[in-house]
Amino acid sequence: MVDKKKMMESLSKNLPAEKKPQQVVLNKDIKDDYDYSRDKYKGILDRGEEALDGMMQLASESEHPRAYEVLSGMLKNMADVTDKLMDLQKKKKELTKEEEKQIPPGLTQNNVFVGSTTDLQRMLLDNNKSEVIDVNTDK
Amino acid sequence: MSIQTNDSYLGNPNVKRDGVEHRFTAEEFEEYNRCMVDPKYFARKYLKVIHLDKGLVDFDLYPYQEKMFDHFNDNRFSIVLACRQSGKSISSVAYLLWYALFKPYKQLQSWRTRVQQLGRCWVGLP
Repeated sequence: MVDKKKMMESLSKNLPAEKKPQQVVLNKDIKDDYDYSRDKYKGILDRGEEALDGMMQLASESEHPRAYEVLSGMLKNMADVTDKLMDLQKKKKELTKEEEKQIPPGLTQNNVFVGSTTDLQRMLLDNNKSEVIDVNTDK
Repeated sequence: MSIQTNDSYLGNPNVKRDGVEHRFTAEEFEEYNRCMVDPKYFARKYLKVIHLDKGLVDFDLYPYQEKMFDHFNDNRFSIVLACRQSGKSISSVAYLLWYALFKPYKQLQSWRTRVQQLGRCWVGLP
């Protein structure tokens, strides 16, 4: 007799019990906006870094308190933009979740019959029984 | 058809619990109806048998096994004259399994070894 473990392994190979997770395709607009804002934030950060170097040089050369004030404000702005870049990821995740919610897993749209197998069997048997045969009584 | 854990019978994901609601698509509906009407198709497509050399294989019926199925279907009693090791037991088990699955309110009686074979075939069903 073939041992049970071997048989169950073959069965699981032939009859996969696990469903593959449904791949969520993001809305095109959402993806475009995400890419655009990400590029913009990165551009701002790059440009800001260059400006920051210049401001630091200016502040150290002039030793003017106003220049240092502007520099500190700029540093704060740069830190905010970096934070926003991270927030963008969070927002994208939220949007992905919403998309997932819109497509419940395993839901089929074109249902012909909803019920248990017993109900289906009963219905099919009834259908087969209720075939009406017309009898010609004239003869 | 995969089954969620709370819908499976005794934790076996291959066997569905009684009364579980399912949304049948047109294809599934057609397939179920076809299996219900034709035991030969059901056996060929869904049953697996253990081959001594190849292991678990599809149950491909021989013509005489098909004839047996037809005879079982059309007659109340059947007497089979066949040589040993010709697959008559597994054929009758396959037919009994089909009968148990698709004929409601029926009781089956068989020898213990046949019931064990039947159980093995049943576990392998999708």
